Amino acid sequence: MPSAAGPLKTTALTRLFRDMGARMVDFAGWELPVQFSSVLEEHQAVRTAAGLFDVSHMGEVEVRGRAALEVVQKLTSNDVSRLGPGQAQYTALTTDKGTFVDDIIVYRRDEDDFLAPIRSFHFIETAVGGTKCIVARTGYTGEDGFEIYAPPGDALDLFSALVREGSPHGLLPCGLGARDTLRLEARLLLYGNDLDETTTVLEAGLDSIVKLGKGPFIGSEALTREKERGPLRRLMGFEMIDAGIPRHGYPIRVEGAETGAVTSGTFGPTVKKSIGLAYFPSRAAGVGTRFSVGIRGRDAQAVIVPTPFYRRAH
Amino acid sequence: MSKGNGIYPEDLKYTKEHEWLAVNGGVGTVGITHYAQSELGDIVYVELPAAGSPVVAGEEFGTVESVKAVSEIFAPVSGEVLEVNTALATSPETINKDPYGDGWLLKLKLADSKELDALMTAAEYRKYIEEEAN
Repeated sequence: MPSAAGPLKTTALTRLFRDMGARMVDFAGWELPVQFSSVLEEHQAVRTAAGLFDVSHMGEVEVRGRAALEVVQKLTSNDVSRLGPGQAQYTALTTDKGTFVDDIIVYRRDEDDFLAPIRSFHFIETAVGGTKCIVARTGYTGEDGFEIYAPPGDALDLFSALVREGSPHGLLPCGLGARDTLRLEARLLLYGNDLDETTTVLEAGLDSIVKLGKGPFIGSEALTREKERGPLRRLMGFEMIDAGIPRHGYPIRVEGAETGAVTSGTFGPTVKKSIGLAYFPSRAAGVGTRFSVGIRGRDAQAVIVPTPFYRRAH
Repeated sequence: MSKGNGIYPEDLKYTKEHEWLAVNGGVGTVGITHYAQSELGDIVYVELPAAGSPVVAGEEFGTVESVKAVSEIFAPVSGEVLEVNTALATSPETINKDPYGDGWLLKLKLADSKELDALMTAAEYRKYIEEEAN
């Protein structure tokens, strides 16, 4: 598939996915599967059994050395000093305006191996099917997820082995389509849609990853001021009252005036509703506020609701 | 890319926008083809005009949405909407399962039978999607 920027980048698994007959698409310059069988089946498999995703297009950076902690503290809004070895933390790489360069997970590595069960937002370095991997209990679906970091040369065998072992238990390989519906139901945000360099961490409602007391970091002054006066707008979840599916970019109108656009929207297969996220002026950002979404020239009624739309039963 | 190697019934007429039309007397039944439903994936929402609305050949008259994409549906011929498949409101996935049967979209009273000449036969449509896929 050609793209304006030249040939698409591939992951260690792209060739396998083509052979499996997955539908491949251009995703930000990468050739990735949008679906293997059906978005709805893959979504359902993750909610009721298991799904396996390739996320190796996402980058990793290792920060090492005596100043590592100090550097990461300066670059991110959350407090890494609270992390013990083997712990992971969701955080923001911030600009000096308190907006997002990206949202990331920071892992604090440990030299010692240990064989404890992995708790949520913890990770271990261990062998998976004979391959030395990092296994983290994190995810992007609203389920109890695991993320495996494997050497690229072993990724194909590992992926195939996990599909083979998981299939009898209902595991399906999953594509970007299901990943998007799953993460949106769980109100997990997507950089480039819900977050970018124009949205602050507080506007996104991620107050829990802004630790203003930890000392200065890039953006901490702007975020301190914003915290005092309150964010001007807030990212809220909504569901449609009228028929129609809200899509990224559709205009939002509150009392007839356009106030923004849908950042993410879909039909939620588990919640069985048309749902979305959008930034609202703070005065109009309360749960229960009614507004309209411009769906191809038609004003469709919607209402702000509490999020996440879907919460896993424990 | 899937080539949509499905069946394309010989007794139907086809459009470049992947609708099919079955003509019975002065009444045409419209749906989307196997290729269209397969390219779209799981269909979760359908928007159709009300019975009594006029539609014009080549113009958009509704939308079919999958989880990921919105696809406009164009009228194969001009006419007046006689009946809409209301069952699709609650089970839009019928279009994926049975695009030429229970997944039909609407029935039209044909305005001008000469418009049928502009539509493709099954063989022409098969050739057209092969070219489009390549």
